[in-house]
Amino acid sequence: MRRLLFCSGNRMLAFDWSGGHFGNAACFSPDDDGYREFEQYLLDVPRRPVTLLVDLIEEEFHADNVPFVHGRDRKAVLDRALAKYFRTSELRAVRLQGRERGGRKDQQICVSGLGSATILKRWLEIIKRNRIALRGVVSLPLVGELLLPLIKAEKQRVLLVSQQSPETLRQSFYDHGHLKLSRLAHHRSELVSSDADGSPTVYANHMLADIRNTLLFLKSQRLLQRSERVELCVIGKREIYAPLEAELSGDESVNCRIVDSAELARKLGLRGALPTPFCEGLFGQLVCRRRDLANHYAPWSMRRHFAHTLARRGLWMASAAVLLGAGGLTGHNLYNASLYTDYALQARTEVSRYRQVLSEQTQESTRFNLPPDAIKSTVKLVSGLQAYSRASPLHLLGDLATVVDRHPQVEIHTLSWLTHFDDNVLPGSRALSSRAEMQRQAERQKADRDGGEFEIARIGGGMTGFGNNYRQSVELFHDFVDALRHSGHYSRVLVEKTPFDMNPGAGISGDSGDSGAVELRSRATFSLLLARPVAGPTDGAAQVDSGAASGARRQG
Amino acid sequence: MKPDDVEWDLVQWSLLIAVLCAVLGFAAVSFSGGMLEEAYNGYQRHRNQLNQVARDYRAAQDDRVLYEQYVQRFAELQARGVIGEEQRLAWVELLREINDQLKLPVLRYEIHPRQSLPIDNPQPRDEKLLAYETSMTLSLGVLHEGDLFTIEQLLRERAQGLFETRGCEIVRTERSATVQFNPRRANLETHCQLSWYTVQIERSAESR
Repeated sequence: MRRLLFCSGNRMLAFDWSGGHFGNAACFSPDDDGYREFEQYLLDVPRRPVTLLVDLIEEEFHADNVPFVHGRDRKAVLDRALAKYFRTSELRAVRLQGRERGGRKDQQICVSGLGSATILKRWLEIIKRNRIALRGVVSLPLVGELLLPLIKAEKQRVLLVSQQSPETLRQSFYDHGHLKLSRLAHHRSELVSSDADGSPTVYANHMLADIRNTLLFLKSQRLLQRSERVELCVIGKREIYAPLEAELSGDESVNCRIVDSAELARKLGLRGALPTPFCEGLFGQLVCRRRDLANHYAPWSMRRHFAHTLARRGLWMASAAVLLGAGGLTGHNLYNASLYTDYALQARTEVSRYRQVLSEQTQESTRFNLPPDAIKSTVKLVSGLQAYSRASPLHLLGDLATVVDRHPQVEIHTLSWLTHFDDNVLPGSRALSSRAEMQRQAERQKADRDGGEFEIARIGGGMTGFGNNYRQSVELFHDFVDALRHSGHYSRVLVEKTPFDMNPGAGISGDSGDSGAVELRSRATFSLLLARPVAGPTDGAAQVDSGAASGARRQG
Repeated sequence: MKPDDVEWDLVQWSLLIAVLCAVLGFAAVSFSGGMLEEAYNGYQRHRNQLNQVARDYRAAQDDRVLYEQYVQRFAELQARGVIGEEQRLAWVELLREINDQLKLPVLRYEIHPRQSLPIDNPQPRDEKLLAYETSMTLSLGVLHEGDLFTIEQLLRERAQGLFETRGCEIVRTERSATVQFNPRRANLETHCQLSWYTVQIERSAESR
């Protein structure tokens, strides 16, 4: 909801505007009663800011050029221009209107203001005294610039004519959208009156005289070329101003067209009828609709209460924002807190469930009062020890017996057997050593025990049934040894002593008589050294096979 | 606008409300923030507990698999006397039983002091495994090789413990003589070195 005041000098109109609709219209005359009623009107809603739209004869417009400068210099130049035209008036403004195309390309400005604010003084005093927020004082001709695009006259020179009160005629000249000059013609009588049947009639001659005077003045000011045809737009009810258009139809210097106020009001988004038969409603609609169009003339001191209003609104909005933000944040925090609480509850339930299961499992596994890894390590350790226990001299004895069965001339007298990680160890004094002692020995020698352990056996025996044929005895022995080697059970078959040792390094003697038989038997003895890896739990056969193969390779 | 230009009575309520809203908002946010922090800490605490107990549970599941995999074997070994104190008396009684059964001409034994056996196996987390070796010298006089097989088979089947034959020496008593069929006279003399193994578990102070 906005409140618009319109001052045309001889009266003050007031409207409440909301969403393109004017209501609560009031008219106040510039006398004591009028002022009192105006004050009462304002105090009905004291917190509502007002915008004062003025259309006064005291308002002056001066088009001027100043040097094109920036910053402080520009401000100084503009201040100087203001002071030049309105030395004493507070209600003044300067507007930049582009630059000249030739010469120094000076800045074009329009300095406007109220040469005398006497008419407005009482009204403004009432506003100030009652601490009514004044958004600004807006000039009607300057607002007219915003109307030009709607009547498609922003890119040409146009003279806009409108009536805001029965006795006045506002004529504003715009050059490509910029106000260059405006004048308010005041007549002693109303320009529009009603005829006998009540229909409105315009005094076209008076208006034409005013318009022609204005055109002459524009040409004299060189704002218009002498031969230039100017666009004349008359805003108002078409049926009232149609005679004017007819009068000017033959004028070569003017292209007159009537812009229907009702049609323009629709374009501006005004809902309902215009508040008065004149055009102040159109300009008021522009002022109220455009938030950026708040003020032309009012200095800050006049708008002080509006600043308070803005501050108050800002504080309310900030309060609402803080409340909303805090509420949102608080809601967010509380929501998340409830989520985390739920999660924590779920986690606690899960923990209890896990602990229950763990407790049950622990009860199950307390049979030996040992952790599973200790049980596993113990079983693994014992399994390793069991692997050692598979070795037995009887296995070797059985394998040996198979070969001896096929060689009846061979007798086995002794079998010395041991297991050791080193297959070069000979059964003898160390044959009875313990595993602990063997391991200590391996550590002392830093021996590599990854190759596993070996069964090592020394076989002592003799040859029988060969008569006196030494050669046959030796051949039988070699057959026996070959059979052992090819049996695949041994990785190494080493002959330590052959029967009738014919080694050139050994001595030999003989007795060919009858008593020689005993001596012959004693000399037909042999000694063999056998070795093979201790078979593993599952790959024992493979180990034996590979051991035999390697034994065969060694023999080869 | 200077401070002197401010008409405080025009804005005092707005200002007061704004301050009040700010205080209320700050208080609400602080309070709810505190609640959120407390709830989050509680959640973190319980989540850590859950993670810990889930780790324990997974470890327990692994342990359970291990346990189920090895417990039966462990029980068997314990029943056989491999795990625990050595069973010297049981060994001696078994040898006597074997001798009663086979009526061997000679069966002598000598059990040596127990000694610790160094082990390479990885130790359990909390307990300590100790392996021991007890050497036994077994001297036998047998009629034929078959007695040796029988004795070994009986030892393996009935012995309260785990043994390994470390070394053996088998000698025919008389090379030139023919085999005697006198049950009181041995044809083969055998001297074997056995190692009896026992494993003990030294429990940690906590598990005790």
